[in-house]
Amino acid sequence: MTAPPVPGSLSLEIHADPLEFRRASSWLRQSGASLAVPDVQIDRLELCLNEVLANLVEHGGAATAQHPIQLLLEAVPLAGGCGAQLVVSDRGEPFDSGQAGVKAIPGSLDEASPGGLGLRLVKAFSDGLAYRVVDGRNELRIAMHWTPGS
Amino acid sequence: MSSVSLEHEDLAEGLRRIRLGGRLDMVGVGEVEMRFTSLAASKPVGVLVDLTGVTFLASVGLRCIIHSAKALDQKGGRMALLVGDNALVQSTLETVGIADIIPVFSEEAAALDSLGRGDL
Repeated sequence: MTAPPVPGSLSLEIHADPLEFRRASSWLRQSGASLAVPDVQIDRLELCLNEVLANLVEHGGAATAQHPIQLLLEAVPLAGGCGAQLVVSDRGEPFDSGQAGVKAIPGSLDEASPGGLGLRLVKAFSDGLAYRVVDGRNELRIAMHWTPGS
Repeated sequence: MSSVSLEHEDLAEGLRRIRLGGRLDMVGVGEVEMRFTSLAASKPVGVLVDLTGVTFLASVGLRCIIHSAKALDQKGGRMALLVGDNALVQSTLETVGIADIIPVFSEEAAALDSLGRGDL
């Protein structure tokens, strides 16, 4: 049984380096616990965060490496439920994960291609994605919703 | 200290088990990818990949598994995945469709059976 999340937000800055992604995962777990976000939602958020950061390293361009990535986890009050959102802000190439299409699920091993798996995971494991550009920074909001007591 | 583990055992002629554990993220996969691919796809055998001890499976880990499964298939071998009661890993495999193209099992006996060695 889960309690409603604790109001508030927590932030972290990291560099676009895979080793830093592990620091971000640890921060997310600790922050989620302090905001009373359930483990199931944190597991899903951690996977989404990892995929978004990996995408930045692979496709974000030179600017990604030159500017810190800002992370913010906040509890969000919802009518009739609970919510949390993770905000990822960076200066890489603009990319709207929510609008990007995902490849069809392969029908055989021959058809399986390694691309697009991360985006599929983010779309499947999040309850909402919102993208905008603010002051030259990409800002992706990854939302999780749940019912208190579930 | 390594955050990912890889062990292998040849269970019988033509049958290998590879156990992966820990975090299969960019760092973890970077530590084991070459060894995993070499163990999984170098011979036309049945390969049981045990993911029960995997604590985090990112797309980079999925790509590694798909790449090896395709290479093994082209050599005439077969791969099966064992997830036990690892719900997050199972959910991840199902979400990206891997469970539809590489057999996924929660019980080792059934996984071995699918590779033609249910007698072990």
